[in-house]
Amino acid sequence: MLCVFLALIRRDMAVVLRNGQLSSTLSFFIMVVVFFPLAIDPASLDLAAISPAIIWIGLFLAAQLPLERLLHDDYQDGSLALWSLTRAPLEVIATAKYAVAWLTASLPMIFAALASGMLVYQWPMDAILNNMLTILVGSLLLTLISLLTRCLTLGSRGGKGLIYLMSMPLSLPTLIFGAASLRTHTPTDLNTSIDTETTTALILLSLLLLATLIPMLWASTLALRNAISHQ
Amino acid sequence: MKKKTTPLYTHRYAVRNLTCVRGDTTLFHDISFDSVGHTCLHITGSNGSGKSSLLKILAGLSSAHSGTLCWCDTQEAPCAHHVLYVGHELALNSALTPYDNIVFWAQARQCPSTPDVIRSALTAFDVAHLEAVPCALLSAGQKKRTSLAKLLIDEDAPLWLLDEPYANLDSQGQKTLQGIIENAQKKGAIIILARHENAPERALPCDQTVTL
Repeated sequence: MLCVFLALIRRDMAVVLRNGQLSSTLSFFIMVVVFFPLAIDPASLDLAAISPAIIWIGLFLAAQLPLERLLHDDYQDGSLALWSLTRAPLEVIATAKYAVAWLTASLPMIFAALASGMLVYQWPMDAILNNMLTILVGSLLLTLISLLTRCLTLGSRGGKGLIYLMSMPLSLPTLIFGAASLRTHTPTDLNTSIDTETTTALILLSLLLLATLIPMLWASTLALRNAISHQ
Repeated sequence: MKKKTTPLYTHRYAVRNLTCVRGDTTLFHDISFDSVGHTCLHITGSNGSGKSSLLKILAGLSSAHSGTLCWCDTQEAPCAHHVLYVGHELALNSALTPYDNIVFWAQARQCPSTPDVIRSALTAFDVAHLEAVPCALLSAGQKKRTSLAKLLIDEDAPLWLLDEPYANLDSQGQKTLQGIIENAQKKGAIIILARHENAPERALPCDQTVTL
C-alpha cells in the first residue's frame, strides 16, 4: 500500500515538474500578493492591516489550481481508473493526490507568503513562527477543500462553476480564523490582547483541520469512486 | 516486490443476468456467460452497444444495474490487482515519456519494474526508441503500443480485459499482440476482449463469443 502511495507521489511529482505547474501556481500567488500594494496608495492605508485579507485571498485562489490538472487529466486519460486497479484502496490514491497538491503548490507558497509579508507588509519579525504555522495549517485546509470540490465535480460537464460555488462556504471558516490568527503588528501597550487573540484563532484553525481531515479525505474517495464508475 | 504465485488454471469467471442501464437507455439486458482459464472470450456488438461498459463492469470499475459477478469462489468482481485492463483511454500522461508511464504503473501494480523489464516490454512493441519522447508527441498507434506494453509487465494477471486491442495498431503490432495473447492463454489467463462484428480482432483466438 505504501509502495503504491509512493509510486503515485513520485509519478505526480514528475508530471508537475514537467508541466511547469510548480512555477505557475507560485507566480500566480506572488502576482496577487504584490499587485495589491502597488494598486493601493500606501500613504493612505495601513498595508499591514489589510495584509491578512490579501494573503488569504491569494492562498485561496492559488490552492484551487494544482488539483485541476492532477485530477482532471488523470480522469480524462483513464489513469485514475487504472490506478484504482492496484492493491491499494482508492483512499490511498486520494491521499496521494492531496499530498502532491499540497507539496507542489502550498509548500512553496508558505515561504512566498512569509517573504512577502515581511518585505511588502512589514510584519514583525517575532511573529514569523506564528504566521508560518497559521499559513501551514490554513493551506492544508484550503487544499483539502479543493480536493473535495474537484473530486465532486470530476466528470461533470459544466462543473467548473460549481467548484467555486461549493468551495466558498467551505472555505469561510478557514479564511476567518486564518485572517484572525496572522500577527501583523507588534503588540503595543494599547492592544496587549492581540497575542492571545491570534493564538486562540490558530488553535481553532488547527482543531478545524484535525476534525475535517479524515472525513474530507473519505468524502473525496467516495466522490472519486463515483466519478470512475460513471466514466 | 513480492508476487503471489497462485495456480492460474483454477480461475473461473461466472457472469449472471447482467443488465446495464445508462441514463434512460438499457445498453444490454440479461447477459450471462462462464469463462475459465486458458480461454479467450470475444464480446461483439455494434457501436454504442455497451461493449466498453461491460468490460468496465467486469473489471469492477463500475457497477451493473442488476446481475451478479462470481470470480472463482467469491460472489463478487475479482480483486483489483487480478485485473489487467487496457481500455480505450490509454492512461498515458502526455507530459511523461513512455518509459516513465510504464515504470510508475509497474511500481503501483507491484510488478517488477527494473529498467530491463520495462525496456524489453517497450522493445517487444517496437517503441523502445521513443522511450525518452513525451507521450504528447507520439502518434495514436505509438501510444496504443506503449499502453499495450503493460500487458508484458503483468503477464501473470489471471484476467485480461482488452477493449478493441487492435484499434490504431498496424499489422506488425497486431502480430505481436496476438503472440502475447496466445502466450497468456497458454499460461492460463482468462482473456476477454471487445471488438466490432467485422473487426480484425477476429483473427485472435476465440473460444466463445458473446454478442450484445
